[in-house]
Amino acid sequence: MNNLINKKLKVINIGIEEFAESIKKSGGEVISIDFKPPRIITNEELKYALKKVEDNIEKIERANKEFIDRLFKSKIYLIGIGKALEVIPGMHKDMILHAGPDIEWDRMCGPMKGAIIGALIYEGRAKDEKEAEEIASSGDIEFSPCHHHNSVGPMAGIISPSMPVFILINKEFGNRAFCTLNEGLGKVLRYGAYSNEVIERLKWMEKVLAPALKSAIEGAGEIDIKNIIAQALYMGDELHNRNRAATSLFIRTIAPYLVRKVRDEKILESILRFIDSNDHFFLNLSMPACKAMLEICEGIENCSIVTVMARNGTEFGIKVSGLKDRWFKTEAPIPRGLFFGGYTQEDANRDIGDSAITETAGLGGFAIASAPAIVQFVGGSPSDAINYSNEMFKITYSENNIFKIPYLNFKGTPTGIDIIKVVKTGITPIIDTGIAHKKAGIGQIGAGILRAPLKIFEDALIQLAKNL
Amino acid sequence: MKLVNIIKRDVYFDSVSLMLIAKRIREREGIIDASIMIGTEENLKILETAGLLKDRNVSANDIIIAIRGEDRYVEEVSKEIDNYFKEVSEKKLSVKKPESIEEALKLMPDTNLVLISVAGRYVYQIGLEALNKNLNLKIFSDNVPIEDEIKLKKIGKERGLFVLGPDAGTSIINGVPLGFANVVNRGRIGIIGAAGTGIQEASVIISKYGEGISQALGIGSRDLSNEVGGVMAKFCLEELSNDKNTDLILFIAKFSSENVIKDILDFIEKKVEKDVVTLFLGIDKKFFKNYKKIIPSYNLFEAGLKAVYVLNKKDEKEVEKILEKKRLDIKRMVSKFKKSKKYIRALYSGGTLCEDAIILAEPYLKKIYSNVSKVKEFRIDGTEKSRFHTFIDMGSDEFTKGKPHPMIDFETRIRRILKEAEDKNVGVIILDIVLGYNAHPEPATEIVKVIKEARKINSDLEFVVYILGTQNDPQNYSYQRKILEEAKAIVVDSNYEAILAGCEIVL
Repeated sequence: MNNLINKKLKVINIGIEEFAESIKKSGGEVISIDFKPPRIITNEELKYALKKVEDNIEKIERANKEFIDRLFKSKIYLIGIGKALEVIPGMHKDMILHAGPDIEWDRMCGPMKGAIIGALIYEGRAKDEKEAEEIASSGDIEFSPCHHHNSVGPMAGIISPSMPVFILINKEFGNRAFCTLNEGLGKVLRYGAYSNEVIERLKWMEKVLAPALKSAIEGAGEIDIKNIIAQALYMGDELHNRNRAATSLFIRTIAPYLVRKVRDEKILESILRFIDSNDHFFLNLSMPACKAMLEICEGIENCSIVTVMARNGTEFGIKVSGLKDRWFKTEAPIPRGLFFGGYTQEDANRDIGDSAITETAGLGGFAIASAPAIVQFVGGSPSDAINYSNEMFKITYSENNIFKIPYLNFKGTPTGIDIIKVVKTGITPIIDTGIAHKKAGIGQIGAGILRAPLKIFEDALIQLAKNL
Repeated sequence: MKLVNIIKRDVYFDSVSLMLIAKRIREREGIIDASIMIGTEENLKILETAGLLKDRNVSANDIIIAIRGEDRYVEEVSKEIDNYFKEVSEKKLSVKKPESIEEALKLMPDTNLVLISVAGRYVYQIGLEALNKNLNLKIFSDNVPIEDEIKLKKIGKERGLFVLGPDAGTSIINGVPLGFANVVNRGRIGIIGAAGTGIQEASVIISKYGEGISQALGIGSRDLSNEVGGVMAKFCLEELSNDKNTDLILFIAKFSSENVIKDILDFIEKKVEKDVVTLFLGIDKKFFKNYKKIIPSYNLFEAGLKAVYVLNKKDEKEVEKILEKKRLDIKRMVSKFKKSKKYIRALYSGGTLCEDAIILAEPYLKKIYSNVSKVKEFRIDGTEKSRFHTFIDMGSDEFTKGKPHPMIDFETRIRRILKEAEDKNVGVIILDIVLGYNAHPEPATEIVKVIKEARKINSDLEFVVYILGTQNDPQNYSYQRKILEEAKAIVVDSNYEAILAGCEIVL
C-alpha cells in the first residue's frame, strides 16, 4: 500500500506559493521551495553529452567521491624553501614558468611579458628591457606553465631558475607543490613590473629573506598550512584576495624560530617588517597548499570535478580530473572591480594568474562569505558575499570537511567544482582576484571579481561524455 | 495614447506574480491595458492578438511587460516598473525558503508528496528527483512533454508511487485540496479524474446531494491517451479499490483512445470489487453492452447524481426524474428573459466543463464550433474568431503557455467577452465561475464589470453564468451569486442547467 492514502498529508510545494496556503488551511503540512528554473540547453552536442553523463552517473559519482576523499584526506605542510632549479621537477636553466595554460611569447599579455623581462634581468641574462625581449623572442628560453611542474604562481606567476620557492608536501600522499615567495604590493614582478627596485627586492628575497625563512622553517620542522587556512577563515580571510589573518598567523608561528636562527637584529627586523607589511604574504602558501591537495586528485577516470582553473592574461584554462592533462581554454575575461586612484576599468588586463587554484579547492570567491572586509569587490554588502558563497554550493560536489564559514553557521566551504553542475545550471565559478594594468611595468591597479567562462566547462563536458 | 514594451532579460518570476503585478498596473490612473508575461512564442502571440506587442526581440528566458495608456501615465509607470518587481522578490526573500527537495526534506523528513506547478519544461527533473526519494507526485503544470509524462509514470508505477498529472488541476487527498478544489463533504465516494473541472463539478454535485468524497485523484488530461496508456488510471483504481474508506468509485474522463478506454473498462470489470460509475464524455452507449458491473453516465450532472444514488442503493431511474425536473425549472426561469434567434458563445475556464457543455447542447444546437470539438469540421483554434455557436475552453494550451490558468486570471477571457459582444449575431454568452481554493478570489466582481461593458456594446446580450462552488468555499457563494443576479445575469448551479438555459434562449 502506498504511503499516501489516509496518512497525514505532508507536502513539498514547488511553484505557485498560494497552493501552500490552502493545504495548511485544510490541515496538511507544507514546505514551499524557492524555485529557480534550470538552464535551458539548446546545443544538440551538449544535450547529448548531458544525457550520456546522466546515463553513466553512477560511474561518475564513484569517481567524484574518490576525488573528494583524496582532497579531504590531504595533509598539507610547509617543509622548506629551495632554489627553483634544484627542487622543481623538470626545471632547467633555460626555462621560465608562467601562470595559466601554455602560451607562446607573441601571444602573451603586457604584464606577463614585463614579468619575463624582469626575470631575465634578475637572472643576469639580460641587462635591459630590449635585450630581454630579444632573448625571450629568440626561442632560447622554454616557457612552460607552472601547473606542468607541480607549481603555481600568482598573477604572471613567473618562476625563473634562481628564485627561491616554498616547498609544501601533502603528507597523506607524498606529493609536493611549489610557489615563489610573495613580493608585496605595488610595483612587483608578478604584475609585470621590472624596474630596479623590483629586481633589487627579488635579490634581497633570494639572498636574505629566503635563507632566513628556510632555516626557521627547518627549525620548526614543518608548519601545518591547512590548519592556518582553517583558522584564517574564521578571522575574515578567504585566502585569495584577503590573507591578512593567515599572514599574521604565519608570522606568529614562525617568529620564535626566526628569532632563534637569525642573529642579526637588523635583518630580523627587516624580515618581520617585510612580511608584516604584505597582507598577501600567505597567498603564496595558500595557493601551493591548494595545488598540493588538487594535484593528487588529477587523472581519476570519469571524474567530472575541476582540478585546475588558471589564467595567463590571454586565456582562461581549466583541467578536469577525468580528462587528465588536457587544458580547455578560451579567451580570459576582464575582471570588474574597484580601482586604485587614477586607474579605470579601461586599464584592466584580462584575468591572469594561477591563484584561481584557491577557488578550485573551495576557497577564494567560494569562501567569500568569510571575508566581509573585502565585500566592496563583490558589490558592497556582506549579504552579497553570502549569496555568492551560497550560489557556489549549486555547482560543487560537497561542503568542505575542514574549511568552514562562520557566517553560514560553520557550514563547510563549497568544494569540488563539478562541470556537470556548472553546465546544467549555467552558474560558473566566481573568482575574486587582483587586477593588473594591461601595460607591462605598472603593476596592480585594483581588485574585483569575475566569472569563469561557461564555454570551457561545456567543452570539457562534451569530451568527458565522449570518453564514457 | 501610447504602447510600450519593456523587456527584462534573463529573469524569472512565476506567472502568478507577474499577473498580480500586471493587475496592479492596470488599476492605475491613465492605464488602459497592461500585461506581463514570460516571453514564450505562445505568449507573444497572445500579446499580438491583444494588440500589445511592439518588441519581438524577446526569448523564453525574458519577461515582457506591455503597457498601454495615456502617454504621461505610461511613462510614469515604466519608470516605476522595477519597484513592482523588487517588492515581489523582497517579499520572497524575507523568509529564507529551502531551494531544493533535499533541503526541504531535512526540514520535513516524512514528506509524502511533492506538488509541482512550475513551467512544464522543468517538471521532469524535479519529478524524477522526487520519485527517486520515494515521494508521490502531483503535477499541476501543463505543457509537460508527453515523453516526460510517460517516463515519470512508468517509474511511479514501478515503485508504487502516485504520479497525478501533469495537467491535473484538481485533487483532494485525505481531505486536503491540491490545486483547484472546492470545500466539499468528506465521504465514501472516491473520484478518479482525467479532467480537473470535471472532478470539481462532480464533487460539488455529490456534496450538494448529501454525500462526500474520500479521495479525488486527478490523473491528468493525457493519462488515457495511447501514449500513456492509462497507467495512473489503473494504479489509482487499484489504490481506491483497496481503500477501506472508499465504497464507490466515480471515474471521470474525456473520451480519448478507444483502446485505452476498453482496457480501463476491462480492468474495472475484472479487478475492482466496488461499484464504479463511469463518465467518458462523448462516449457511445454501445461501448458498455459487454460490461455488466460498470454503471455508465454521460454528463457530469448525471455522473454526480448516479454516484450518490448507487452508493445509497437507490434506483438509478430516480436520476432521470431529477434531470427532467431541472429541465422544467430552467424553462420556467428563462421565460422571464428575452428570446432571440441568435448564437451562443460559451467561454469556459474549465476544459471538462466545455466538453460537457458541447455534449449537453448537441441535442438542441446544430454546428457547435469549439477548440475541443471531437468533430473535425467544427474544430477551430481557440484564438480564431468565433462563428455560429462557439464553445471555447480557455484553459487549453493555446491560452496557458507561460500564463496562469483562466480560473485565476480572467484577463484573456475578459478580452474575449468584449470581442464576442461586438458580434451582433451573439445572443447569449455562457460563462463558468469556478469557486474554491486557489481560484479567483472575487470572480463575480470582475465578471459583473465586464457584463456591464459588454452590454454597452451589445444591449440585447444575455449572460448565463454558472457558479461551480459550495457554500463553504472561501469566496462566499451567496455574495457571488447576489451581485451576478443584480447585474441581471441568469445564474445557475450546474453546467447542465447553464446549457439548458442558454439553449432555451436561442431556440
